[in-house]
Amino acid sequence: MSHVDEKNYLIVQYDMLIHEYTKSVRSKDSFVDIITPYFSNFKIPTRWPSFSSNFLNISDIDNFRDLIRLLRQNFVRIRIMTLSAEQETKKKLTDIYIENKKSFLEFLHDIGCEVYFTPLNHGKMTVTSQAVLFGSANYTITGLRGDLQWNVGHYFPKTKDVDYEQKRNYVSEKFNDSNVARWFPN
Amino acid sequence: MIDISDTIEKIRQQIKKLHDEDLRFDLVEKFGSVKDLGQDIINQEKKLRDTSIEDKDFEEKKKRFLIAEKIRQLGKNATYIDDFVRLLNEAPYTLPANYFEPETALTTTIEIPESSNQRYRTEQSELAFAVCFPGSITFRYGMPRKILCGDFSRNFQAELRSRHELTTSTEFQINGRNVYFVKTFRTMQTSTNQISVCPTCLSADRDERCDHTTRRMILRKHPSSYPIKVHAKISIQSNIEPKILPQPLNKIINKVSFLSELKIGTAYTGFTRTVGNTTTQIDYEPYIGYVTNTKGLSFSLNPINEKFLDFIISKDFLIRDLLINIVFEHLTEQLRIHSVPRYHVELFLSSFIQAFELDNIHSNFDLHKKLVQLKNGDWIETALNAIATEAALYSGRFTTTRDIQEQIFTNISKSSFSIDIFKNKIKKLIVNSLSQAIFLAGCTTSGSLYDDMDYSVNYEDDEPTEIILFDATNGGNGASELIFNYLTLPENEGGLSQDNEESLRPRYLDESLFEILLPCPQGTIDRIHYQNLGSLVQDSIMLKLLNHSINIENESPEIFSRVRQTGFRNIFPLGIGLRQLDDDEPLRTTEKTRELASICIHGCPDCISLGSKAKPDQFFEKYSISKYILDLYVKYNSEDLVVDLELIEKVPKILEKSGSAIIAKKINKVSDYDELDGKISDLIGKKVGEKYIKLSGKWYDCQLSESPSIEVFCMLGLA
Repeated sequence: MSHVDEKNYLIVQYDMLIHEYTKSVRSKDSFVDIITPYFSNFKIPTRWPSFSSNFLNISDIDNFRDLIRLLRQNFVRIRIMTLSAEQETKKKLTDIYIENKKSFLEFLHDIGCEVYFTPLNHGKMTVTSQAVLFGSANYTITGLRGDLQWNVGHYFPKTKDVDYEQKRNYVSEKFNDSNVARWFPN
Repeated sequence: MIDISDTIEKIRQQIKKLHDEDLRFDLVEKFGSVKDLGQDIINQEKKLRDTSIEDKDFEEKKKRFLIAEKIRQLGKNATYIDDFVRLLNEAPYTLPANYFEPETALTTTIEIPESSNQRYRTEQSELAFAVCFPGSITFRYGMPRKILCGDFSRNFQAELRSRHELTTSTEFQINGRNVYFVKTFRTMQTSTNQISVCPTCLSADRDERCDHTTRRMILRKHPSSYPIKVHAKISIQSNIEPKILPQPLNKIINKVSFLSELKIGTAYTGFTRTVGNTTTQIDYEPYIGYVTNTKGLSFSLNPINEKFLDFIISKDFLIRDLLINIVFEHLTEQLRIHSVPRYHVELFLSSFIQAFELDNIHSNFDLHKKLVQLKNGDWIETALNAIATEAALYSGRFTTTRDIQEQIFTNISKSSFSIDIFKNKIKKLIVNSLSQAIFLAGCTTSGSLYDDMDYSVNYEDDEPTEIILFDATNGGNGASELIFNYLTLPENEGGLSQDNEESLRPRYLDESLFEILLPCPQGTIDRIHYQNLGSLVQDSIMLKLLNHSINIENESPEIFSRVRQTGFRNIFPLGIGLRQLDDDEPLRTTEKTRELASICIHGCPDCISLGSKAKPDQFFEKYSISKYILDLYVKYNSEDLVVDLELIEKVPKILEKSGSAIIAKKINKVSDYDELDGKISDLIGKKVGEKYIKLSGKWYDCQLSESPSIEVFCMLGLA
C-alpha cells in the first residue's frame, strides 16, 4: 500500500490503465472497473503518453477517451459506475457538463464499455487486475487536477496487499447490487 | 511628421488580399477603395509638402503609390498584375512571380531540338537534375526524351562535358573531385514503347552505343534509372542555442543545432540503370551538381567508444559479416578499375565467401587466422573455380576473363585488412544506420515525405562527427525548423485541460528516434522463431507476427530446413550470390532462399532500410547499414540506466541521477512476465526527489546467441 495525494493521484491512475493495457496484450484476465459519481473526458498532459515500444503503440493518445478505446481494442472488460444525467440534474450541475457526460457515456457504450448508474455511490475507486486506487478524486478535470482540489487516497498493488482483494470484492459486489442499474442509450 | 506608410500598407494589403483570393481580373471593380486610398495619399503628400517635412522613404513610397495607381489603371484586363503587385513589397521580402517559381532559384535549360517553338525550356535546377539527369528518360515534355549520356561501355564512365553545357568554374568539391553546374541538359526523342539495350553493359541505343557483340535486348518498357547523389556541407550559420536530447540519446548525439543558413552542395556522381535483375552503375565525368541555400539540423555525434568497437570485433558472426562488407568495398573498387560491370560484384563476393568458408562459422572463428590466409592468396584458385561454376547460373553472360578475375582477387589479397579498417567500418555502419534512423524520425515528426528532406554524414579524419538533416528545397520548406521546435518533449507543461479534439498531440523527434532505435519488431520475431523461443511469446501482437513467420516456413519447409541447418547467425552470407544452389535444384528455389535470407539482421524496410533514398549506396544498401550493430550500440550507451529485475531496489537511485531507468528481465518461463508486471506495479507513482515514477516504455529483444533468450525491458521516467 502506498500513499497517494493530489500530487501523484493522476499519475497513478493513468499508469494503472497503461499498465493494464500492456498486460492485456498477453493476458485475457485484464479488466478495469471505475467507480466515480462524476465523470468526464479530459485532455492528457502532452508528455505522458510518450511510451517507447517496438510492439505497442501507446503514444497516440490525446485524451482519456483514447486511453479507454486503446484498452477496448484488446477486449479489456471495462465497467463504469457513475451518476446518471437525471441524478446529476438534481445536484444542479451545468447543462454543458451533463451534455458532455452524456455523449461521453454514449461513446463508451458504443465501444463496448459497460455503464452503470446508481444514486447511492459516493466512493471513488479504480480497480484493475494488478492494483486498486482508492481515494477522494472524481474522474473529472476538477477532481484530478492537483491545483484545484486536494485529494488523498491509497494505492494497493496486487502483489503486496491483502487489501487489494478486499477492495476488488467490494467493487464486484456493488456492481451486482440491486440499486445499480446497467444503462443502455435510447 | 505625417506618415503615409499606413495608407500605402493598407493598399498593399488589400491588393494582396484580392490577389490571394484570385480576384485579380476583377481587381479594379472589386477594389474601388484603391482610388479613395490613393486620394488620401495625394492629400497627405500635399500636406507633407506644405509642412516641408522630409520623409526619408518619401520617394520610395511615392514610387509605390505610382505602382498602385498603375494597377488601378490596368483595369479588368490586368493580366500582368502579378508583376506589379510584387513590386509593392518592401525589401528584403519579395513575392514570387507565381506559386511554382521561388525567387532567386537557380535554373537550368533543357534543350529539346525537335521542338520548333519551344526548343529551350527553363526549369529550376533541383527539378532539372532530378528528372533530367544524364542517362535517364523523362516524360515531362510530352514524348519520352532521353537525356544524353554518351558511350560509357568501356569503363562505365559517362563523359558529360561533350554532351551538355557545363560551367567552366567549379561549384564545389566532393571527395576531392570538382563538381560543375549544368547550364543546359541536351536531350533526344526516344521511342514510346520500346528500347533496345545491350545485355552486358545495359547501354541503350543511339547515343550510348557499345562494342559488345551480344545481341541487344528489346525492352517493352524503359529501364529504370536512379541518380547517385552525394551531399557536401559548404557553409553553415546557426544563431539559436543548441538543444540536448534526453538520456540515453544524449550519449550518442552530443547536441542538436538548428542551421538557419545552410549551404549544401548536391553532387550527382552517376546513375544506376536496372533491367530485370541486372543493374549497372555509370559514373559521371566530371561530377555535376548545384549548391542549395536551405535550412537544416546538425546532430553532433559523440566519438564511438573503443571498448564498444573491441566488443563488436569479439563477436564471431558480426566480424565475419564485417569482413564480407569490407571485401565488398574492395571488390567494388576493383571492378571499377577493371571496367567490370558492377552487377557482378555479388558473383565475386559469393565466390570469395565459398573459397574462404565464411558460410557457416562457429564460435571458434579466428579473424587473425583468416586474415593471414587472405594475405597468402592460397584461396584464389578455389575462388576462380567457384566463379566459373556460379557464373553459369546467371542469366546474363559473364565475359570477364580468368586473368582479370585473378587480378581482382590478387589485389583483394593485397588490400589492407587491419583492425583499424574493421573499426572504421563499424563506425561507418553505425553512423549510416543512425543517419537513416534520424531521417525517418525527422520525416515522422515533420510529416514530410522522403523527397522533402535529405541527409548527409560528415567525417573529419575518417571519424564521423556530424549528421545533417536538411530541407531538400532551395530556401527551405520549414521541415527542419518544425523538427527543431518539436525536438524533445517539453519539460514543463500544463496539467489537465478540457479536451479539445482539434488539437492533436505532436510526435516529438526524441520519441520517434528512440522508437526506431529499439530492436526491429520483425527482426526480433525472426530471431525468436529461428532460435526456437516461440513458446515463450505471450504478447498478442508478437504472436501474430510469429504465426506469420510460421506460415511462411510451412509454405516452403525444404528452404527453411536449409536456413535452420545453416543457422540464423549465418543468414547474411546466405543472401549473397547463387552458390547455395544444388545441382538438381531449380534456380527459383535459390532465389526464394535469397529472399528469405533478407530477413532483418542488418536492416529491413520495417526498421531503417530506405531503398532508393539510402546513402551511400542505394542498390547495395545491405552492405552499408547494420541495425543489429546499431542496436548493440544503443544498448551499450544505455548500460548506466539498465538494472536487472533482481536488483530493482536500485531503480530510484538511477532515476534520481539520470531521470530514467530501464528494468531488464530475461524470460525463461511464461510466469516471468507476471513477476515483471507485478514488480512494475509496485513502483507506479512512487516518489523520487520531488517527482513521481511514471511508465515510459516497454520493448522486447532477442539477440543471436549460443544460448538465446527473450529479454523484456521496461522503461521508467519521472513526472
